[in-house]
Parts: sequence; C-alpha cells; structure tokens
Amino acid sequence: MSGVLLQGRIILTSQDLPTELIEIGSQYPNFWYCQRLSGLEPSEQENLLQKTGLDAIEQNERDLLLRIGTAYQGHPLALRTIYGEILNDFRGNVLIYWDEFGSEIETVEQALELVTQSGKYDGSQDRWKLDNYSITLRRFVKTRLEKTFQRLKQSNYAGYFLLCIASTYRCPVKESWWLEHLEYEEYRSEQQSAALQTLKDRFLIEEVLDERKGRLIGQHNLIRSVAIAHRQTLD
Amino acid sequence: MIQSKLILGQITLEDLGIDLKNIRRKLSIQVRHTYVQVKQWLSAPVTNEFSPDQQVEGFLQAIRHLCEVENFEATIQILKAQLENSASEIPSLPLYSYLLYKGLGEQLRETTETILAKFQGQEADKCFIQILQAKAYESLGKQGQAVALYKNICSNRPEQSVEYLEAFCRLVVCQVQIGNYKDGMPNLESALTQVTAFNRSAASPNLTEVEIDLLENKAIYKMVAGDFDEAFSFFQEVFDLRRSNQIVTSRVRPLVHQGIVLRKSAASSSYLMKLLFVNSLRLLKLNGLADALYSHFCLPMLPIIQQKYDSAETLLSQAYTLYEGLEDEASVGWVSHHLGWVKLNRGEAALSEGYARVAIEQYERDGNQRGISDCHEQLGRIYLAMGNQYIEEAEYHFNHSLSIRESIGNLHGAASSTLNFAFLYWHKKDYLQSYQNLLEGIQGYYRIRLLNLKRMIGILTLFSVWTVGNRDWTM
Repeated sequence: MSGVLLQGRIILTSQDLPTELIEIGSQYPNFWYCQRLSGLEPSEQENLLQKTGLDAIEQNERDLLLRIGTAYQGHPLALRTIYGEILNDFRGNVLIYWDEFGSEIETVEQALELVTQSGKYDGSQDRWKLDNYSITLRRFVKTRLEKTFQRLKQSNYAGYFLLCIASTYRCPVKESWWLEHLEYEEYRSEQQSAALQTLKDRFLIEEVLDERKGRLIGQHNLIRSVAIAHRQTLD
Repeated sequence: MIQSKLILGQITLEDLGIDLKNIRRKLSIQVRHTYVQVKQWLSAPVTNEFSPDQQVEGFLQAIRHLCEVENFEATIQILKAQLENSASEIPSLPLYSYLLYKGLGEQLRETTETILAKFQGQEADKCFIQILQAKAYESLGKQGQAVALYKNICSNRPEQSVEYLEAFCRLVVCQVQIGNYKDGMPNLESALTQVTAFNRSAASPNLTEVEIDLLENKAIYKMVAGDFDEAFSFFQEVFDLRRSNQIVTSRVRPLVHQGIVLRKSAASSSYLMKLLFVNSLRLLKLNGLADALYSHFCLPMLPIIQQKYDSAETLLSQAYTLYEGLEDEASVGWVSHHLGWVKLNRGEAALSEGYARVAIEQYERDGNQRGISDCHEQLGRIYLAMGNQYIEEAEYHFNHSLSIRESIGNLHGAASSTLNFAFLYWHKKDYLQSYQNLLEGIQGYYRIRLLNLKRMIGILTLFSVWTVGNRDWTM
C-alpha cells in the first residue's frame, strides 16, 4: 500500500484467500494481481516507535523491540499494544518487559516459524497458505491482547470496564457515549477521564474524525472480539 | 404504546417501558449497559450531527441492541414507531415503511434477519417480522424469495387470521409481478374477494392498502394481457382509492402505469398488422415494395402514434417531478426507466440511454434485482438500436438481464429475454438460433398464459421490427 506506483483501481483486502477467488482472478491476468500484505517493515516499526514516544531507548532495547516486531511479523495492532504496555506498565523499560515476556515472545517466534516452514508452499500449486498462517498469527496476537486485558483489569479497572462494556458498539461513537457508561456506574468525572486516557495511552482504542460528528472512538476488530468475551464476565 | 406519537428521533427508553434507575438491581450489568446504548441511539438523532440516513441507522442500531437483551416487544415498538419529518414532504410513516419508501430494503432485510435469528425458537409471535422480511425482499426485486416466505407464513397460520390473509394477498402480488399468472390470477380473484369482505366486516379495516395493491396488480395483468382500455380505467380507480384513503407513498404509481399503458397502446393492432406485413416483405428481400407499402399504409398513422407517445411522456414526466418532491429516489429511477422506453420507441436511442443509465444506477444503489435486470434488457435493446457495431454491448446486457431474471424466478422477464436473443442472433447472422429463440420465446409466453392472438401478432411484429425493421417499437 505504501508502494510508489499503484495502477490498480480496485483493491480488495482479505484475511483469507479462497481458491475460488484465485481461480476467477487467474482468468484475467491483465486485471488480477495478488499481493500478500505483511506487517510493518523494520523502518516502519521505527516510525511507530517514534509516534508512540518509545524511541528514546538504548540500542540493545531497540534490538529486542525489533525481535518482538519480527516475532509478530510486524502486526501493527500487536506492536502498538506492546509498546503501550511498555510505556505505561514498565515505564518505558524494554529490558524489564523482556524479562517478564521474553519467553512468550520466543514461543511465538518458534511457532510461527514452524507454520511458515511447513505451510509456506502448497506443493502442487506453489501457493502461499495464507489462511493457516494468518490464523496462527491472529491467535498469538489475541493471546497477547488477552494478557494486556488481564493487566489492565488489575491496574485500571475503570478503563478495563469501559473497554469491555463499549465493545458492543458496532461503529465508532462519540467520546461522551463511552463516558456515559462510567457515569451510570457512578464514577466521578475525573475518574472517567483518567480511564479513557489510559485506554488511549495503551493504544487500545482508535480515534476517528467524522466531518459531521467530530471526534469518535472505536475499537480494532481484534480488540473488540477480546473485549466482548471479557464483557460477559463482568459483574 | 408509543405508536402514532413519534416525531423523528424523539423516542425514549421510557416509551419502551424501561427506567434505567429502576433496572439497576433487577438486571445484569451487561443488560443495563446495553440499555444505556439503546438510549443513546434513540436520543442521538435529535442532534444536528446526524443526517436523515444516519438517524434511521441510529434506530436500527437501537433495535440490534434490543435484540442483544432479547426485548422483542421494544424491538417491534421501534419498528412500528411513526417517523415524521416536518422539513420534508415525506408523509409520517412507521419506521419499517420509511425504510421501504426510501429504498432501504436491504437494511430492513438485515434487521428482520437479525431479529428472527435472535428470537428463533422463542414464543414471541414473529409473523409481523416475517411479513416485513418478505416485503423487504419484494423491495429488492427478489419476488421469488418473498413468495417462499409468504407461502411459509400461509402454511403456518390459520386461514381465518389477518396474518394469513395479508401474507396470501402479498403472495399473489408477487406471483403476478414475476409473471406467474397461471397461479397468480386465480389467486388474485380469490384474495380480492377475501380481503374486500374482511375490510368491510372489520371494525377497523387495516388491509385497505393490500386490497388496493391487489387491484393495482389486476390492472397490471390487464396491461400485459393487452387489455389497455380496461387497464387504464383500473389504474384510475387505484389512483382514486389511494387518494381517498390518504395513502401518499404509492399514490403516484398508478399515474406511471397509465403512462406505460399509453406507450404500450400507442401503436394500434391495425398498425402492427400493417407493419408486420411490410416487414415480412423485407424478410423476403422485397424492400422496394416494402418501402412503398410502408409509405402508403404506415406512415400516415405515425402522427397519431407520436401523439400517444407525447401523452405518455407528459404523464411520466409529471410522475417524475412528483416523486422528486417526495424524495422517492427509487421511484424516480423506475420512471426514468420508462421514460427511456418512450425515447427508444421514438427512435431516440442515444437519449434513451441517458434515462436507462439513471435508472440502473438507482436500482443498483437500492439492490433491486428485478429493476437491474429490466434495465439491462433496456440497455441491450438500446445498443441493438444503435447499430450492429454495438452488438457485443447488447449481448453483454442481454446476458446479464437473463441471468438475473432466472435467478429471481421472473418468468415473464425470462420469456422477454429469450426474444432478445432471437434479435441478437439474427444480427449475428445465426438465423437458426434466432428462429429457435423466437419459438422458445413464444413458448415462454404460452407457459405464463399470456399468449393470445394479440400477443402473437405483437411478438411477430416485435421480431420483424428488431431484425429487419427500424429497431424502435417495443411491446
């Protein structure tokens, strides 16, 4: 998507690549080009570090972050939440984060490598097994998010509650709508703002600008799916 | 109940019988907060931030949340709540009617599907929702799917019930619309008798609109059967009934149909016979004689035909303006399609294309499959009229039209499509295929019980016009 030249007029993005789509597309070689989208490249990860404010670190810490990025194949959502967690729960110290989660990252590295090696090519059709790989990566990102949720629950329950309870919004809505849930639970105004700020700091919510409605708040689909599961356990 | 009270966007949780403070101890935290979201979606539309479409979407979001907390009653209340927009000529309508009126049938279909899935297996009476879903399919031009749903309702409800009667009447309307006259016409007479008796005997007749819809479809049958005078009178009756019953949303429709009748009846049977004879001579390569006879017999009749086209165009243009005023974009598309036919009949293919494009774009926006298929047929004919250099474009549109018509079970449309291929193969010089399609087309009309002497002359004239003739007249 960041390519210099793009002649395409219709771009269809998908997390799956059904055989039917390949068969139909292959009939029109002049109009069909399939590009597997990977995650963020190291340079793009560097940009993300700057954007999130995690760039003032030592080289050895940077190497570890790059390793995390490679393990999660540059998955932007996974990286954003990890960076947010390091900034907020580990005061920006990557080494301490690695001490706690290094073994988990290594597990991810090994498992994804295994999937990559075993399923990279379909012998008969020389085709990338996107679905299998994508599902595995998605599972690991979800596991990572699950841990983020657990940590949030302990460190900032109001934020955790808000993230879970607002998961049933199917589209981005006004900030005041999110806060109304905390108000209904009789959280004070400053507690409401702090909870929302926590979610922003950890990149667990996304802000969208709408011409008519102004600034709206939504959730990434993956975060939303974890939040919906947690919502059921609220009491 | 909140019915008949609601002004756009001013429905509250209290109207639905829910007090957020009182439910605090009674309901789970998840349910309570879902009601907070319902409240937000219901109150949001009163703000200026929301466009009318977003306002409606807000109501639908509220319904989805109410499904999550399994509040069936409130869901129905919102669907039936009256929407009133003082800044517009659009009449006050229940939400579900508003969705159909504004060409938002897909949203209604999706909403009813969510409701039916959520309350599957529960005791709630879902007949109203099932009928709405079928109506949504109708509005999307998927009469075949609507027929299946109406049949299902009829088989599950007692014959004396209002729900049965409404579903039966709508089933009949769909049957007529897809050209299943064999079942549709006997059913229509029976349905009309039953619904008229019901409306006369009921303390508060609520199937008046359905009764008028049946009459309108009777008129449509008369029109397609070639009984133009009778059809014209029936449409006038339908128009008067809708006016006296203050049914605003479909009041203009009979005017459009009268315009269509005028166009279809512009060329008299006597003219068609003469034209067929002249074109038959052209088929025999006797062009000189054909030209002479055409000048002598047909040409003097053209001014009268053109006058009728003028009347049709005037009526259709009036309807177009009325629909614009009512912000009924779906119907604007429909009228545009028929204005396109008038232009084509006048031999103005290039102008006709403009109207056809407006129509197909609207039908595509609305997801109206039947309308899309009709426009593809029209575009195919337009390209064919433009000359053989556009034959590939014509074939493309004819193929699309047939494929959609087959998928939605439109028998009348499929018969018409078969004739299109008869013309197409003729111009591709595959005369055997051409005649074969002509015969199949005639058989198609026979199967749907529309083949009489008048129709037979019509089909043969049509074939002659679109093979060796001027490529302008349409049935």
